[in-house]
Amino acid sequence: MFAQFFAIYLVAVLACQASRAYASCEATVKSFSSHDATILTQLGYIAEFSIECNPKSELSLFAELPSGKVVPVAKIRDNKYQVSWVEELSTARGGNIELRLFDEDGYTYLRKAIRNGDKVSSVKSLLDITVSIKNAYKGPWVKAELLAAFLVGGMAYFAVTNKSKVQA
Amino acid sequence: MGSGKQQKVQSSGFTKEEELLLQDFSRNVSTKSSALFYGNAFIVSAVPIWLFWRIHNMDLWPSSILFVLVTAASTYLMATAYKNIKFQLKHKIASRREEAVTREVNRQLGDDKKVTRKEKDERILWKKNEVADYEATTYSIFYNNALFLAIIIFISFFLLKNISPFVNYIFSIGLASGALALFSTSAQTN
Repeated sequence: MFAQFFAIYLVAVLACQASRAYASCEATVKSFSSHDATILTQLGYIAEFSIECNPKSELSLFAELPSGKVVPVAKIRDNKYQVSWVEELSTARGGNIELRLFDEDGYTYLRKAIRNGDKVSSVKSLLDITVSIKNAYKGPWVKAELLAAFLVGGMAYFAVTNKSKVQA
Repeated sequence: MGSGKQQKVQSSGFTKEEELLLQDFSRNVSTKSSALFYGNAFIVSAVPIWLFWRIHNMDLWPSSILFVLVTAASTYLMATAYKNIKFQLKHKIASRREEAVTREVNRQLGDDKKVTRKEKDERILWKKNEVADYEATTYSIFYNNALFLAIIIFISFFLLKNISPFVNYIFSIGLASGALALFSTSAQTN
């Protein structure tokens, strides 16, 4: 009886490993993000990607965001996926953002690692994608009122010192 | 024509030279200067309306009565400040320009024998008065406008930035023009 269970378990494990063996996947990524952050409190990011795996298979994906949060990836068409997230303006950054993608098994291992307090980075991802994000415009470096205050303050200083000189 | 003028001078009890000297120290401003002061004061008092309408998002028409009242009060206070600062500066500028004006008038008149010493002195005095009046007027306008705008920007954008625009407008314009009118009355220390 025990031998039968062991055999079933072995087959299941091998099948699982086999399912992870399709891990020769390639992704094509497109990204969108808010460009103007002057009137926003949070920035929105969308990563849209298509995945070609060999052999072809249906994937249920999960993505690990830069914040460390793991979210499900939406499937929008065949082999086309989308994941979106928001970030606070203070922590939002542009450039290349790495997203780690997990299939269902990977997600299980990830949750297990989180539950056990293990290193999340040690869990092997199915695929890592790089999302290129443009820096959002957060307004001018120097605020207009500050510039105006400095200019008119300088002029007022000149007026006051010149008046003192005339009256001296 | 000249005799009529002479009579007018004599009727006030002062010679022309004395009149010119008095004018140098006078607090009175000519109608032209007064118009210039009130015109400038009105413009500089009305400019912040745009700031509060477009930047601080005040409604133009519902706030128009407030705008008119505050602008009128500010115009009066600014014109007072212009006059007082002009008075403070005029005599100082006159004494600073005296040498240059004398040199200039002497150069212009040259060796004209027809002009008496007294006439030459009167002309120097008149010219000096004119130059000092012009410089004091323009400098007073510049000085008060610069301080007025600086105070308004500081109060409205930094000090009262979280207050409602309605209160912000009243306080920033009122404080700026009021402070300038008040400090322009201060006596000279030197």
